[in-house]
Amino acid sequence: MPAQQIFDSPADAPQRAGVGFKPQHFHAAMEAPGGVAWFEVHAENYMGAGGAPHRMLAALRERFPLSIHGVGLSIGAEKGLDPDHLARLKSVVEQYGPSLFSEHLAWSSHDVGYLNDLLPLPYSTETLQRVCAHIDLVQQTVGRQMLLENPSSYLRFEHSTLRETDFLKEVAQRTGCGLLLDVNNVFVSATNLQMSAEAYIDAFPLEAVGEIHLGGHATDADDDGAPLLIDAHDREVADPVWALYQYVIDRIGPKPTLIEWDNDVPDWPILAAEAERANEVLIAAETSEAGRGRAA
Amino acid sequence: MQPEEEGAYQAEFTAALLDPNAQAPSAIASGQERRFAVYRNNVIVSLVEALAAAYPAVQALVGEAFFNAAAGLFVRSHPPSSPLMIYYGEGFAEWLERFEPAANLPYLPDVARLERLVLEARNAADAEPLSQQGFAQIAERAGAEGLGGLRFAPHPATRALASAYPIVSIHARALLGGEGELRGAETALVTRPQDEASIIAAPTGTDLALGCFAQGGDLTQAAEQVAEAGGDFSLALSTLIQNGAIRG
Repeated sequence: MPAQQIFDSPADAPQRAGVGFKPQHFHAAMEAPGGVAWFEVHAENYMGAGGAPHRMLAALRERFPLSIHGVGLSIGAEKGLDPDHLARLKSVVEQYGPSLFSEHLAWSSHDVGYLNDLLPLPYSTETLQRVCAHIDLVQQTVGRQMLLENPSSYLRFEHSTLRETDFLKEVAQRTGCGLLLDVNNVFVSATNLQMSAEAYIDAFPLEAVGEIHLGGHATDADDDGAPLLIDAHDREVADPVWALYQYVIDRIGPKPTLIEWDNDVPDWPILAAEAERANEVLIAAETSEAGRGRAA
Repeated sequence: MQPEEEGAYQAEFTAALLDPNAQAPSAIASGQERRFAVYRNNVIVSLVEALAAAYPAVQALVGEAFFNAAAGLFVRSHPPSSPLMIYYGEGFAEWLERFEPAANLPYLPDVARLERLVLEARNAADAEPLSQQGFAQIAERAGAEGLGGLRFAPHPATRALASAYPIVSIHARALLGGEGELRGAETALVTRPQDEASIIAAPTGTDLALGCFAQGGDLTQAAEQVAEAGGDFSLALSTLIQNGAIRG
């Protein structure tokens, strides 16, 4: 086992931009972080026993607040949570003391194995009970609040009876978890399911939002030739997503905001520039809050 | 909640993700084949990419198109057993052994085995390796009579593979290029002296010495096993120590 890292209790995540950490950016990020104020990592990449991943993350953690973002817990799974995986998640969170800790409203495992994708859930009283029970277990086991992220949707279920926003509102109320609002996912889902993205934001329980995600999407076409957006995280954040982000920040004020860029990863300066763009929105919101006398 | 709950759909959904010829699952509204295909594509492409990242030399040896076709078959029949994608690809070497279209590359499964060992080494636990100086001190303390009874543990990141093929040379050539005929058998030693795993061609029997140490055997027992295989134990031992393969 790697030497156990002992850190001070986690600082609140700054109301500034962070980026998803990529090992190839390690040196550039340490030398010239620019406006990047914190880093998010996928918990599963740090579940090995030792080696370079842990050494890098420990060095990063000494200088920056971290967010641990799980991608493999399968909170929506019919088969239940994997106790071994939950124990590993707890261990990573304890080792690195992140400021933020989150997972997804999705499932990714079934009896045959782990499918490495965030798969969709219908929204019903049955799935609501299941998701709440699983989040209760996560928060009890890890010993802290988690944030739950809204998914990108590509299709409709026959038997959904609740709106996603109502589902998330109920989950947050019943479990006390916070929410991670992925603004790109909202735009992707709204386009794919032909809804209004602004109406989705208006219906979203914004008071529970503890973190925001921004990322790039690709464009495809559905069975009838209508646009089908794919949550690809492989390019810059699209302009309409920046506009929707502004719409959100205007309502809730500055929040820790992550730039996700996981495929066709660019050189560090390009990623840092995306973070700067988010910072401009956040700083403007902070200034306007202060002007209205709402700042602490 | 248990799988027998009323609205259970994830078994059908999973099967349809892994079968390219299956229809979209009945739980979703009709007319959404291409929409469902987004998930199917995400699953298969991400798993094939993970396999390619874990087996770059195998991919270089067979070419990208062949690799993607083979990997597509493998990932559908062997989805990950856990969400730890850093370890995905277990069993690929054994699967390649039975994969008829690759039969003309008989060394391919061993290249895959070697790449698997690199993956294990990369994520293995940290520990101080035994230095040459450290070994010399221990040997001196033990004296001539005590030397044979000394026991050593492999470093957690150390792996070895004895192949009937020049496996280290084939692996290096696949990733770095080079020319000329390769021949003979090679024993690969994988270590992680710093952050990166490194591979060298080690003396015959090095894998046996390591295996013996891992089982708790002493130097005398290890020397016997290496000698039986026609190897030079002192050469194997000094290779292990020089490369940080023994735990300090």
